[in-house]
Amino acid sequence: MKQIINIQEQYGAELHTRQMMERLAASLDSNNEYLLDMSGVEQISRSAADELYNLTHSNMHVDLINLEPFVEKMLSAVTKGRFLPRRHLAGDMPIIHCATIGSVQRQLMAK
Amino acid sequence: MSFALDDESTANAINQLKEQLSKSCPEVLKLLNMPLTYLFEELICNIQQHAQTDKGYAYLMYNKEVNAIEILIADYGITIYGSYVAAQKHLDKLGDSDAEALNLAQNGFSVKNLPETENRGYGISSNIKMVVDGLHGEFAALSGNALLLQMANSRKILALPPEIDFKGTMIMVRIPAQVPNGFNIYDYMS
Repeated sequence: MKQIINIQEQYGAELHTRQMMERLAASLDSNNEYLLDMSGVEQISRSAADELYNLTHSNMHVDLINLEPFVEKMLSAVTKGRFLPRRHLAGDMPIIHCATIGSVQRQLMAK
Repeated sequence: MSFALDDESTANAINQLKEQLSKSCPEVLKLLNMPLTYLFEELICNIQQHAQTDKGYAYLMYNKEVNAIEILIADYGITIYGSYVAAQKHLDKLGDSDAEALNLAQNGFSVKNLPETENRGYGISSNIKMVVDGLHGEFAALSGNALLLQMANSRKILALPPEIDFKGTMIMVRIPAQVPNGFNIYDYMS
């Protein structure tokens, strides 16, 4: 039987860091099966979501249930990111060499 | 404020920043809660993962004169240049230049272990996109002796004179205290 873990009760409504999810992973037993109940978790960082992705794609038996919209979107973004080629859309920025403090000031004033 | 980089301390730091804004300007926090949380998380996470230091610094204020929130997140770590060197990534493009390191970072070149995919990376490039394109704000990053500046009509990196050399990385962001029509945080998550 799968053990249900209420993530919001244990870690709060906002999962800010990768370490939180690493701590969760370390607390699980690979011989058991788990359902992570994500209800009430309204915010998750990309790093925490990435770690959650690792957990659900590891040899642990872990599934997620009751995802809030933001968390679902973030997990989807992280999952897609695993398979998409890295894009460098911003392009190079011009590099301006400033030899003096005065030239820095001029650049800052020019915006 | 300064904060340690364990998860409890970083969570507390994020909450304190938001509480501070909530006291001075609750309506602004209500509008910007999600993008601000997202931004804090990503910037602080960058320190945790790349700066090789044990402490971060954060500052937030509501600037009434320009009706904007001003945020500073900093560390005294190994700089962005140092993080590429530590990871032995993109050394061919990097040379010995903090400015080139900032250029690589703003263009999404990762120091992570699978640089050909999005992998775990998010980084400065997406932060800039959300702040400047999405929220019509301004973004600056000082790392070593280079300064990146990006706003709506200007983007450049200044290679600074040798007397300016910040031993770490400082991100400075100004975000107008109103959300532009059509802003959707989900557009900046993929």
